[in-house]
Amino acid sequence: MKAFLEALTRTTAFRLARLNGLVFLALAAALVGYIYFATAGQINASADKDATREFNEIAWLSGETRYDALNQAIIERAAATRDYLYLLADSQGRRISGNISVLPDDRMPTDERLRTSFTYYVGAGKERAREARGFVGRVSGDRVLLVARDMGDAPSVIARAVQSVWIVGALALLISLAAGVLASRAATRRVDEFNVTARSVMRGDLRRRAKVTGADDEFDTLAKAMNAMLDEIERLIQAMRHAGDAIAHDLRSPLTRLRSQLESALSDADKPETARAAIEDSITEADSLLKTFSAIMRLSRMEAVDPRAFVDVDITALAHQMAELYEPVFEDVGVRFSYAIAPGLRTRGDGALLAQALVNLLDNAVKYGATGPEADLRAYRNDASEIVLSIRDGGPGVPAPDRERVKERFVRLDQSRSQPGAGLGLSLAAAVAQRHQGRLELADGLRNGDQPGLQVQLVLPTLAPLKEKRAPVDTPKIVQPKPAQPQPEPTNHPAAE
Amino acid sequence: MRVLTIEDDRDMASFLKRALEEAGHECDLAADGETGLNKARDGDFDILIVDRMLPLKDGVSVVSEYRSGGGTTPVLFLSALGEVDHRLEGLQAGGDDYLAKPFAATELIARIEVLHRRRDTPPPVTKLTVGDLEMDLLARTVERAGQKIDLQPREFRLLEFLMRHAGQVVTRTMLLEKVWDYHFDPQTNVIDVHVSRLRSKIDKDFQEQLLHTVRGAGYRLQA
Repeated sequence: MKAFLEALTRTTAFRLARLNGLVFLALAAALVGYIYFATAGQINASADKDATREFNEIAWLSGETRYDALNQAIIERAAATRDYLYLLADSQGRRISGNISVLPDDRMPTDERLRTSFTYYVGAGKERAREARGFVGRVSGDRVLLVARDMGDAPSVIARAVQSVWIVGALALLISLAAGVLASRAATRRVDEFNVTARSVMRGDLRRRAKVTGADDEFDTLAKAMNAMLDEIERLIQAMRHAGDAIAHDLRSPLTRLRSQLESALSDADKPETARAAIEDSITEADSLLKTFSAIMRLSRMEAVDPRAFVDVDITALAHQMAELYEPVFEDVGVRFSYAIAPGLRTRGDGALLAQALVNLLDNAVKYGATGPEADLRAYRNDASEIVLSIRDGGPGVPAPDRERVKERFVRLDQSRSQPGAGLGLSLAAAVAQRHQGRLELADGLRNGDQPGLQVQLVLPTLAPLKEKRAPVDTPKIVQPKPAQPQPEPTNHPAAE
Repeated sequence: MRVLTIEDDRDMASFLKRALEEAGHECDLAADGETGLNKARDGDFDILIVDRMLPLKDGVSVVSEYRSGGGTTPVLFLSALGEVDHRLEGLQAGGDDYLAKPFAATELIARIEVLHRRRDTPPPVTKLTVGDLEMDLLARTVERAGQKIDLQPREFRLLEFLMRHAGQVVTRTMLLEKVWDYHFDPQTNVIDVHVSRLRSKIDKDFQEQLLHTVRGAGYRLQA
């Protein structure tokens, strides 16, 4: 029970309810204060005023006339009204006349007039307490005069009002605490559900999802977000498992080859030349395995690339560099290579990744396009204002049904089995495109007889340039209409520089 | 030359030691960062080879402490596979070059020889000469035996790098890094193609070949 209370009082909902109750209590206190001063203060002030006037009248009488007249006046006034209480006493405080029997307190008044308030009782048998307030002072020599205004029921009415406000306040506090307990239990139940879901996912039940009640409240929003996150995690884990399987499958054959080469090197140990050749083959095999591993790691690291670290990348310059780098390579394999690169293409991105993607695509074009007569690289802005880096070759191409599949890791079409590589080049380029919120599109390329060729387009959105700190410019900006940029036709170029 | 290798992996260390000694260098070993830093400070070495991940003190700290203590010996960082992103970090800490594992022994030897040569660079020159091949760095012209050779800008830079390291082996990766400033390896033989183009321009019409291919390693420009 104690633990339950502790857990309860820790919840946010309960803390809010408690705060709410305290605020309500403070309001009640303020209200009590206001009622008290607005009613009791008013009544007391008016009673004091009446008593003062009455006292002054009587005191004036005692000044003008004899003591008898004073006595007479008090007897008359006491008989005529119940609203005032009078008492005339001698210097010892003994009653001479008036409608109350004794001075309400033992204090003997000095010359000064003193304020007094007291309770008195009326009626025989069922005595009823009444409140009065007034003044006591000396008149006509050393006689004592008390004049007080009867307050009737006013004080108890005020007291009851104050009391009821306090009671309402206390009730409100209790009710708000109780409401807090209920609300916090409801909220805690929902939160507990989330905790249960999270824990079972942690224990490995990846299919578990948080319940969406349909109330469409903030908890539902949270549940939906949590479920979406879990869906993504599940998808990633599936993808990872798939990649793991693919890696295992794909690395088994080169490792097997490596092993048999080493084994034959061992058995040929007495024939140094043969053994040496086998060992050299093994090193080549190991190097290509390591290349595959590097590519896998590059792919994984891609996930960690932070788009916030992107910088301005000059795509035009990058494309020129790549074209220059690969032009002699195409020439070497007997392919006519041309390029057409529009000026002023810029976007935000990671220059090294984009260069890597282009290298992969150009490598592919060299490897698979060598059977065609020509290849080209084009860079331009399309109608949707996206930057397109297009590489076309005249090789065997990729049949339409396989075009999505070849972008996956380790997927190699049968016809490419004879070429070196691990089937990661396109998936790396696709990952780079995705990282830049772009895409990789495959289509037919430069047809060459019965070979359709391949076109690979790396499409990048033009990301907003980085915010630059600029001094305010006073001169009005002259806006020049930009001519529409036509898609440049590839030209056979002699030299780019 | 005397090389200090700070490497905790025993197999790797003995591989390095053997490779260095086969190439005619002396090699001292340290198996952790603390020992390595002390040896580097006390000993008189021509090159430090430092692994990034070390017990007691990691490679980057070793080098930055060594540098802040006034050490000037060139440093080659080694990193495990997949740590290439840390290249900049290593260079900023005071490393002079960076090599990702695994690497061929020839690559390592080529790099430390270039590093060592760079240490005692002659004052800036305006002319480079290898045999009868001359390069004027100001006029950006190249002549061989008095005959002008036309080079494209990239070819000029490639030849300049080879001439500055004349007599030394430069690897394909080094060329890609230093001439093109790319830090990845293409599947195709991009560099070979560029080098053979350059070769056809400077060697084709001459009896003596200057640009040699070093099998399994790279290239060497030598008269």
